[in-house]
Amino acid sequence: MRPRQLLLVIVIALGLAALMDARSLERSAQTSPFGLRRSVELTVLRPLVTVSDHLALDRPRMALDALLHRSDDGGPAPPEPASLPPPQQVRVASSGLRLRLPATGEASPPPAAPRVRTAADPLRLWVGGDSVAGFLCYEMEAIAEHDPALAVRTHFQISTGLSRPDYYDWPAHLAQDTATGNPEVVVLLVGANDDQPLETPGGGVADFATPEWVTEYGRRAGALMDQVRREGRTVVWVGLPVMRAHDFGARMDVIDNAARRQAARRPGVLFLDSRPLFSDDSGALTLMRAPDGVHLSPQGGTRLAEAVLRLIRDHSADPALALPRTGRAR
Amino acid sequence: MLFTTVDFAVFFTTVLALSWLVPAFGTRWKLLVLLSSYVFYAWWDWRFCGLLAASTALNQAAAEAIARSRTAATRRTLLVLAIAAGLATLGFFKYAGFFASSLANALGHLGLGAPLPLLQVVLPVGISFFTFQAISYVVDVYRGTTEPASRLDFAVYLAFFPHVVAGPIVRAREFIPQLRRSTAEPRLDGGRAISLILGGLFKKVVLAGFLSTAVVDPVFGAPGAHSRVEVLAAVYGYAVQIWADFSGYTDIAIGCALLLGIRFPANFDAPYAATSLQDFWRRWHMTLSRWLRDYLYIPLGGSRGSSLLTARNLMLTMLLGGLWHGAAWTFVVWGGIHGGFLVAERRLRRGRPRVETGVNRALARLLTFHVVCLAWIFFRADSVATAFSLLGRLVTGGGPASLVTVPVVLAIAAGIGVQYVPAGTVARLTARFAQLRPAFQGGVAAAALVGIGVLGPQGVAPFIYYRF
Repeated sequence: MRPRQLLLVIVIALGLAALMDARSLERSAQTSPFGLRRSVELTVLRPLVTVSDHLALDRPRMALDALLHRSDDGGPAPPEPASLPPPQQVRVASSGLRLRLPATGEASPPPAAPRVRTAADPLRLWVGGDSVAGFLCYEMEAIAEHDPALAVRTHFQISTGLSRPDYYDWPAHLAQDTATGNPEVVVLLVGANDDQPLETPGGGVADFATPEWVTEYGRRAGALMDQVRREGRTVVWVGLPVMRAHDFGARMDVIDNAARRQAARRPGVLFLDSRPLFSDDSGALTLMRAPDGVHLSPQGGTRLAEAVLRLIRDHSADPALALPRTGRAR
Repeated sequence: MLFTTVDFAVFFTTVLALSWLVPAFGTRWKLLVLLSSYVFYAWWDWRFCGLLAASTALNQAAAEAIARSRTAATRRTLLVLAIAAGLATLGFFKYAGFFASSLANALGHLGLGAPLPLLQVVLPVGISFFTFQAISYVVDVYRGTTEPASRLDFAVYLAFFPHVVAGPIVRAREFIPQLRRSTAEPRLDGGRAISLILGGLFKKVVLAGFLSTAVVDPVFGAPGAHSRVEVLAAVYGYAVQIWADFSGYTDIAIGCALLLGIRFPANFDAPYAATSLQDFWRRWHMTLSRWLRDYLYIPLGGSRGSSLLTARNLMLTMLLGGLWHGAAWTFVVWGGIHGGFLVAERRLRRGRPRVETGVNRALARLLTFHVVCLAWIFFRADSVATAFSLLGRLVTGGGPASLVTVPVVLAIAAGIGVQYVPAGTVARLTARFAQLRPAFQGGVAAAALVGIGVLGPQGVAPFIYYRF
């Protein structure tokens, strides 16, 4: 085959594939981080989508997607937000896990009767988040294997966060999960993918770490906390561990602080600062991390899982909530 | 950039088109390919372009010095220095953290010391591959089996973007002579190249991607939460996944190289149809196994000494081969399993004629496949303890098998079944494709790309081997 012929084959293959797949490519570009590249991609792809639609070249792909029950939206529609009382008035209501957290400006509630967890009535946890939550989820499941009084459901999704609900709608997915498993405690670790511009309610785009960005991200984090608390569940918001790359760590601090401020205003929300777990006295990163210096190793997942359970126990009236086994063989 | 992204498609098409504007394999062509290769490598991490360049300069300097040297002692010294420098660099980037964490764990078990600071070492992409290629070049010059290449030719060889990230490990004497051809307009094996690329994309994106998310990752992540049937499906599924992922990548690399007029050696030959472990290593990651044979096993003495020495050489080769794959004890155990079974196999077969009857061959294939799967458990598990937990679940794990769906079973069956498709069948299909008019070839390729996009999981997963 001569180069000219080969070039013809490649141009036809890529061009035709681009036309047949234009909608999917546009969708992918829409959910990519805001910026010049996204703008260029959308500028190129929108006319392709138009041409593809006129020539009906997108129909085969749409038919295949329908056959395989594939959709390209960010998930199910989020639940309609009900009107909420001001945060300090909310109490943990229906679950047996009673928190000893005083509401702002009010006296501490009387200590609740201790609840004895059993295999018939385990403490129900939901644990999830982005890929950093991966080994936290796995280790929580491992702990629950050996503790029948603990029931854990997990759900982590790589490359997700709160800044791009058009890519992955965490409030909607979390609502589905909690409706199914009815957890008493929701443990969430997100943020590692959120250091990117996000769209504000007014339709503009806020660059990362600007005041507008911090306000909007805080609003989203707070709304997610309220969504969970409205269902009578406790929220454990796990802060991101210290990162190897200092600049990336600084970005994560912005995200963590935005979430931490929202948690501080809400009784029923516990914020776990994980940084002391993975750094020495000088703040330098220690082991229990994956080679990328971002994700946790299995040992890191265990350490974090133990810390989460300790936090829940320390803030509950349930002295029977035992710590997990330590020193698990690896 | 990953082979399975639109970025790479645009990059490669651009490089290909530009390469046809200059005489193939001339100086301008080589400079274009070299520049493109560094752009490709910089896309991963620009900071390590200097490392690749330094490795190129150091090994070429060593090869030239060895070729000029007149004394055996000097030649040997230069060889040792070049190899030591390469292995030291590889050791620092790849194994420093592993040894630090192993030491920390050991101290912890003894009740000594606090957690050690994590070494701030990022692993350069492809370092294992280009280090091994560089070592093979210097050794071959030392042995006299290849002449030192020109500096430009060696630079192109080491950085050539289709293989720089994850192989195949091409020898200099296989690659560099191809750069010495000269033709204004090469005739390209376009049909075969496109077939390889499309087939590789299907294996990587659809087959490997599906099995990874459907069964392998959930089971290996939490073995205790899954039944024995699910564990078994995950083990078989991982065997198919790693073959599909790696052979798929290799097919794409070979196809891309073909489109640039360069022929790579094959890297896989139906490995799960092997009738023995020795046969398996003649079919799996063939370029690595030949490298280990020629530059480690044979220099150690190979099978020339006593059976005890042969066993030692086999074990050492496989243990180091395991460590090459990753800085973790699981990879060492993986290598140890292969080494141990290779030693046992050699002992059992000594002096006995090979029996090739149908039933015996089928049993041999079955046994070999399951030994390989046993080793894969350790290769995939995040720790030795997790691997043993998985093995334990095979015995004790009751419960439902919700992850073992019809698509999972079909994917595993397809991945193993395709190993038994005759090579002639694949060759005939490729030839039929190559005979189509270019417009029809383009149409078939477009339909294949769309199908792969539909069937593949969301998002882009890297190749398993790319961080080796």
